[in-house]
Amino acid sequence: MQLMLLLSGSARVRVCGVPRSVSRAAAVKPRASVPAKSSGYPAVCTPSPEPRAHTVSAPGLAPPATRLEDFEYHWKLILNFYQNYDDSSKIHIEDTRIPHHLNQMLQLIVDEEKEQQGGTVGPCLEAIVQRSICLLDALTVFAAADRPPGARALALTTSTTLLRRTRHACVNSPHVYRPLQRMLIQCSENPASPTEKDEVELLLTLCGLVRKEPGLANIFTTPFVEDKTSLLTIPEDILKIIPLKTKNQTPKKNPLFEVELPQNPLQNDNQVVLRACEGIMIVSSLPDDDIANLVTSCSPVCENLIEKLVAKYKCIPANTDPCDVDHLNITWGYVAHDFGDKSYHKFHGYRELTTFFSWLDYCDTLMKECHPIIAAHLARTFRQNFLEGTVECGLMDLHHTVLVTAIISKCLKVIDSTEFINGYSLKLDIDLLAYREAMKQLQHEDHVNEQISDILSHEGLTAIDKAESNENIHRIINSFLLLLPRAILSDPVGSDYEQYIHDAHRHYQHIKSLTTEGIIKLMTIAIDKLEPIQHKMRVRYSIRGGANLMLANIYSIPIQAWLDITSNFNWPTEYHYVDTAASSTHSYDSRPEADIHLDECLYQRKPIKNANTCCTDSENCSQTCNFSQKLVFKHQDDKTMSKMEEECFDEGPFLTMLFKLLAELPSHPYQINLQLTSIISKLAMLPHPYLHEYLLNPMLSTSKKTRTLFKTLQELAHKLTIEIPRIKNYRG
Amino acid sequence: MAYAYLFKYIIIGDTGVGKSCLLLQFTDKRFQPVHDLTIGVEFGARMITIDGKQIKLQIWDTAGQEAFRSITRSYYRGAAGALLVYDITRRDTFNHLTTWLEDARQHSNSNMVIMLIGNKSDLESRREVKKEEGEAFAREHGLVFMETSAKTAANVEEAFINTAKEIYEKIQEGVFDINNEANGIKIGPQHSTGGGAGGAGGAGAGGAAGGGCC
Repeated sequence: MQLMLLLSGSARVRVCGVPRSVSRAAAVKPRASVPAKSSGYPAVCTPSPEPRAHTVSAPGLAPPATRLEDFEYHWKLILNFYQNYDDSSKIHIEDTRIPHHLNQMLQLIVDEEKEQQGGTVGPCLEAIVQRSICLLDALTVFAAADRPPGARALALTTSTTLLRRTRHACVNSPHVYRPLQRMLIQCSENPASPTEKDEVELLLTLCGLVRKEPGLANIFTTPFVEDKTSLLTIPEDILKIIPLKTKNQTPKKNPLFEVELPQNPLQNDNQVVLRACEGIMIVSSLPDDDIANLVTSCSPVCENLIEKLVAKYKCIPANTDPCDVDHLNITWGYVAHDFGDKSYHKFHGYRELTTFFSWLDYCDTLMKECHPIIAAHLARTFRQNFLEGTVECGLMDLHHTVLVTAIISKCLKVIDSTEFINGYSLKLDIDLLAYREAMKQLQHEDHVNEQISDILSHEGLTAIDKAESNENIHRIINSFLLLLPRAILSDPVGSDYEQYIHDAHRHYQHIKSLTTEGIIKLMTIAIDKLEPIQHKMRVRYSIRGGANLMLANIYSIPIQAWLDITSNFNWPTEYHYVDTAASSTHSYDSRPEADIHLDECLYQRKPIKNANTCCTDSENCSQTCNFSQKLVFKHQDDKTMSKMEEECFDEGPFLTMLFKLLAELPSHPYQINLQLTSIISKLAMLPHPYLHEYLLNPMLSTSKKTRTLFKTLQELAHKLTIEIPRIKNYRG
Repeated sequence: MAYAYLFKYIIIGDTGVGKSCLLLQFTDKRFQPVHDLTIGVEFGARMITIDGKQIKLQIWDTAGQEAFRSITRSYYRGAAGALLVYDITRRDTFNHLTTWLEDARQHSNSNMVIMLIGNKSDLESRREVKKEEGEAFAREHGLVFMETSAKTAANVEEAFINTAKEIYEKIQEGVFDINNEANGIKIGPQHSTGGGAGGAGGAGAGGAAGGGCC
């Protein structure tokens, strides 16, 4: 009834502004431009009489109808249908002439647009904009009432087609966008409706329009006012374009994401999810800062995306074989269609893993494509809700550690959006997985040079003078070699050293052209020299957790590859003093400067309002930084306090972890130690002079509390010296 | 349905050159005269036969508009073939080919077979780009070239099938690693891999075989 009122009401209004009389438009007369009754719809059930066919025999008597008259004619017939519609009839809308009339009206709009010059609005579209023909309002009501059955889907597809087919759909006119807004609200009100595919298409279309004309975003971000007189405002969040997407996200409001790939491997359902994903990506790639801020502050979209990831992660069966994880190759767009065949059951947990990684890939892709503000927020959410909130718990459970580690390291391998990697904080104390993370960080790190440089100048490090580097090499090697406890050396130190130097020289000649790298290689050899110690200790400290063997495949990049990989990172090729005068002693004078620089760097990138993590000052700063885990100073809360003695270099969680593991060398399984030393030597291989200095220069003067590789090895050697004599028959 | 291989395609090119129409003509054998804006990516599939083998083509029809590039970019990955389409009646669509090509090469695997297509060959009277120019461009960039008409269906079948043939040949030559799905090629569930392709898929494939392959 309500529907009837609205329609007949609009029929009355529509006369205004139309020059030709309505009676003429409504009059039955031949229309050459309209294919009469040829569309194959069964006419039997049509309540509205269509007498046109009978009058075709009188062509030429009246001038050919204008397009607008045709338009009005079809509109009139739609109204007629509803005036005579009997609710008790079970007719489906596809069996009526309604789709035909709507189609014709669409076609007329498209046709007239082709003839319009310079984007002006033709009379048919004008009639809609002026609301003399309330086509869109009617569609909204069709969608709400769904009568006759199927009207809802038809209304949705018609609206979608109208928006997609016309170049200028006048969406900025209230008479166009109001009905669209209403339709959107309806879409969110009917969870799991059979028309969700049509709904999502309309949503995607609107997302697309907004993306093309960002100005339109305002329409969907301002509260919806039902009527000027009633001023009945719909809850604010429903109408913002993002909550519109939220709707795609929030389970309560919208089903789209509930229909998940695995439960229901029907193509259509997958399509709905994909469409929704596309819509989110389109809107979040809008370049407008305001919209991005709106997304992060007013919409739970980021949280929901990660929540989804968490849910999918939790679905992975605990007894999945970790070895299967690494071979997966999954992207989000395709996975939906790969479920039908046998590969579906390739191995236990395949489906769950696939679902998880495809979602991860979606998040990763989204982060690469979306506005930086959204990306940062998403990365933060990812870290808090997924890594810290979910994965870390799994790690505590010894039974699952291997699988979790496998999944997490696989995650690190597949993601490559900068922000995502940034979110991959090393809060996790997962054995050696962090290694890859560090590599990725360095790879993407623009500020690393300045920062390390700052750190070094702050520390007042002594660097190897280039001219003296050759002599220094001997000193350095000697320093490392002398670390070895005598008890475990088979030969006297002297002969060992000579032989070693001989080898080293050979190596050095071989790579002389690369001075810096050459040093590093030698250093690496020096460190590797420590491995025999572990080898001898193996008897006692044999394999404790063979499961960790799988870590072996985390890093498999040959040494030379690092040089190639890093060749385009714009890393400095040599170490430069920032403050030469201060290099030999602790230069406290250089400190403030370093601080200022760092602060600038930090606060520049601090647009995010709700850094709601309860971290220390230092962590907080680093979070807002481009990369959270780089080497940063520990900032004192009280800037005025004397920092001279307290200040020490923060090597960051990754190196902290490595040093810690190294210090506990004797208590680890042999395999772990192999991995560990390999990682450290590979890290030292990175052609980055500041890293070299820090890791490999035993003569580096640092504050007492600052940990370095050399100090750690020193302590370890000391520990071994004490422990070894206690082992019975050690030499045997 | 049983197939020996599955190839993933993408269709790229400026907006309005007829990408969606080509797909529709190929999958449904019909032509839609109105231009519906593609937002995001549309999907189509069809079975073809090459060398007596059933091959399933999964085709992703992408949005041409710059605004939607964020989406289309992610679909480049894992495509074995691409149809790069321009409109012979619009010179600018031809001029943009280089950009498209760079985009495609950057985001896809290096072995991807790219077929250059000059569409709307039925509109000879409005032609702005000579066939020779298309041929020259294709030669220069190592593409296969063809002029088609999504309206009359001229060369549409050929365009898709020739691309598939090219991919098939590359498989035979061993250029593509068919066990890596990132290449956009999948061995069908009922296809015995014959040689050394084996691996994890081999066991399942052997057990499932027996369907009505010719």
